[in-house]
Amino acid sequence: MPILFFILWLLLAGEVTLHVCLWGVVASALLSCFCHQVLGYRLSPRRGTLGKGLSFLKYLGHLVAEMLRAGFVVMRLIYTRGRKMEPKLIWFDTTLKTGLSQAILADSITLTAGTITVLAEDGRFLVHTLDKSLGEGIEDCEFQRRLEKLEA
Amino acid sequence: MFDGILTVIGLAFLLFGLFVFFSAVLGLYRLDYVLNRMHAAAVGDALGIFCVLVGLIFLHGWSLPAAKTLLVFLFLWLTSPVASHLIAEMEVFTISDIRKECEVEER
Repeated sequence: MPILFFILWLLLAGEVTLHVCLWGVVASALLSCFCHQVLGYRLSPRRGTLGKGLSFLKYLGHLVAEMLRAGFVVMRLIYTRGRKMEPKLIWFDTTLKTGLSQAILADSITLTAGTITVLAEDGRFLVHTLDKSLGEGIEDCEFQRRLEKLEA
Repeated sequence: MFDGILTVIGLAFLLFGLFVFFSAVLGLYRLDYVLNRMHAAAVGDALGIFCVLVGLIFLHGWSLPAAKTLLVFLFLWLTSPVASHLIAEMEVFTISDIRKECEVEER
């Protein structure tokens, strides 16, 4: 974690000098200590972390592609349908087990224009869709299938 | 020659990003309920920001500001869904009868 903070520090500072590096080391150490002691964050790489990291990068690529595609779909709906939309609230259960995967799924659904996660609690999701066509098959979407593979 | 092509691509992305933001603002007027309007705003957050920032990366070339632009993507896309969740949750659970605004389905 300190290394991540240090890279972020260098990126934001925009130059690599002794002065910047020394302050960067101090700030990174303090922040890491705060995250570890107060917030309880842990970064503990285990076997298979690298493979999962690559799969997660693929997931992010898929997410960005879906975000852009959904943006075009909603733009088309704005110009063609206007107030004649048929919005829908959909309750469904997710098969994802861990809280982290459920949070990622909730965020992915919200980042995709046309669908917003209203509630995600104990594996039960409430999603608002701009038009009913956007909610078809949402309980078994590609995001969920990919996250299931990451969980396994 | 190569710089000229990059500038044209960058400008095309920037202009398309502006058009996306125009569409998002238009959506705020054309849609009639707060949750529907949030979807229009989300178009600007996702596609609009993407096009504008990618346009800026093309215009500046691969440099430190471009890397910082990627950080903007990261922080914006991490924080924006949280705000959306809260606004949507507040709206759905405080409105007297949500079924008047939209159909509710259990799956």
